[in-house]
Amino acid sequence: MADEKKQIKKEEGGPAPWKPVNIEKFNKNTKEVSKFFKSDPERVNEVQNGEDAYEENTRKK
Amino acid sequence: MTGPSIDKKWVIFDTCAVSKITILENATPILSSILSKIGSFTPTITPLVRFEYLRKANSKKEFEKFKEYLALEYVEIDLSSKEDRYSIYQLSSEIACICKYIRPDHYKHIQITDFIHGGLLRRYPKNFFLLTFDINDFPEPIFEIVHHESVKINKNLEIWALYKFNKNEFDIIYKRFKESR
Repeated sequence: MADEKKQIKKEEGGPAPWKPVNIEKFNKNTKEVSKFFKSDPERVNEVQNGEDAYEENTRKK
Repeated sequence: MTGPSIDKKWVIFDTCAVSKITILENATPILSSILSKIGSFTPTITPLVRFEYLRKANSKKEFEKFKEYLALEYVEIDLSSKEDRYSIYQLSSEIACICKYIRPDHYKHIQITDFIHGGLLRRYPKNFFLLTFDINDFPEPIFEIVHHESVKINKNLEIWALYKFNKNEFDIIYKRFKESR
């Protein structure tokens, strides 16, 4: 029975529980983290140009 | 007025989606757009996205803040079971072969993380979707764009897309691939 329930859970959502997004809370927490990025233009550039820019900047350092 | 025909799904955010939403600051337009297509959804990441995002931290303080943010707003897919891992890796390796088969020119630019995400979409085709800004890494027709939109980040106009796995197209191409020499 337990195995069956586990199987159903897996088919429905895979190996991830259900936790629906709350836009207001999501934005509040995202703004908190964005402060770290906004203070460093080089990092913003890395994000906008993808992982290649990250690798290049890391090599320069 | 009718609402979205699909509801209660999981949306995998790839690394560029998590990062670009971070510098965008306001994710409301993107999240609202997804909600207009999917009634409700769980933002999801894989352990690989967590690694790629956390390595952007320049200090212990940042590392802890980023880790807390991911834990608060994203559900991490648990691949600790050997059975799940084997299944996803197997499916992902076949996705990689098919991507090389249909897009040999672009194949080398696709990251391993993208193939793992492809494997997850294939494993759970009814319930998993993917949000990305790297629209060249998920070749059609095996990945189908459910919705796409542009968003201005700093001075750049960027396109994000919501993908799902197209099992029928994949099966047709996979059959052709197996018969090829």
